[in-house]
Amino acid sequence: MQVSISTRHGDLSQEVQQKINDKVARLPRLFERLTAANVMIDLEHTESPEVEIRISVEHARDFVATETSASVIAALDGTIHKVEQQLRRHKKKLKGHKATGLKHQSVSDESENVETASQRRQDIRNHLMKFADFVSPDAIKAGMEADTKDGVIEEMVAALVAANQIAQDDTESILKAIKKREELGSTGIGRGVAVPHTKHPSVDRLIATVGISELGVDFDSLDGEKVQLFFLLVSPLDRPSDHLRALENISRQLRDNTFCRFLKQSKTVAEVKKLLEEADNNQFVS
Amino acid sequence: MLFRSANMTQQTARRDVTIVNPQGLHARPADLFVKLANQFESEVGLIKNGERVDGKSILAVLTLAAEKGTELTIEATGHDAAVAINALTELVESGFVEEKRTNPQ
Repeated sequence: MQVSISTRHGDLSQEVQQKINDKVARLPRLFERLTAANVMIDLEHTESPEVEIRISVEHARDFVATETSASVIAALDGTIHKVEQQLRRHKKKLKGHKATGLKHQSVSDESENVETASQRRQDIRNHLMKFADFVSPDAIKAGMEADTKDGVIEEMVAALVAANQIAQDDTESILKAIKKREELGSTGIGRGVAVPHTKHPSVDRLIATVGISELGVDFDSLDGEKVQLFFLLVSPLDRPSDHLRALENISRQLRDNTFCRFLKQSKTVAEVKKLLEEADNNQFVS
Repeated sequence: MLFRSANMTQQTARRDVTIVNPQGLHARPADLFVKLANQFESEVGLIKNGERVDGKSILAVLTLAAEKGTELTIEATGHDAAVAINALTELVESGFVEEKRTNPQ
């Protein structure tokens, strides 16, 4: 297995590099089909260096883990621990397939089929999520007609159905779940923004849409303001991290006054798409 | 940690906490945190990896994307800082109790 080590914002002594190399080089003991390991050490925060490790494996997506700690070696140990867990799970999965009588070839075929989706998820886990990662462009609504809380939720879910993002049969149950969530406390998080959402077993990845209301709707927001910007999210049951990252992205972008104002003023879907794209390209982040 | 000065009403208190609830600090826990923080006069901050955000703003708290296992520092400055820190720490360490009771999934 090839081991490569790179650093950002600083350099490491030969001694530490050797140590890293030695530790990483032991990984194939756990799982022999490793082809390469890339270790990236970020020394921007000297008191809390970050180590990322990316392991390439035959017939599977890359395994990636990151850890921050007080020292490079401590962070590396944490990272190795994480990636070892991923490798063990992967190994177990392969064995499981064999035990059910599937031939080896079918295992790798399956891995390739899910490659894109897994890779996408992996990317999402490792970077700040972008709107393009979760917003369904065909379901975006500008100039929403609804003027009540329930009406907004219904209009947006209908848009997701129309864009083939959720099945017609699941509509009722999804609507009910989103409304039930609102009863626990409004998702109107202030600044004229709301993030109605639910988990639902019918989806296998985070799906979302954006709706703009020109006049604003009373959404029982925390700050009492009417809501003009809606981000409706439906998440799978088992992926809380994607949901958190989507909320992170929405809240980070909306802290920018210009983006927030332009989005509220958008009158067409094309305008909304363009703004989301610009936000993804960091054109608003100061 | 608590820095107290006998003749001053301003004090800063800090406490390290770990997010324990499986879903992390999503909208509902963030809402609970912010609501509780706003009951105190002290300024409240949340710090993750050196990034400090306003603990009284839900938009700000959500930008942390704090998953289960994330270590955060709660910081409060004001005359009721110590009480605020205790209450907020308890909320986080309880796993945002209300969530368990009310979240069906």
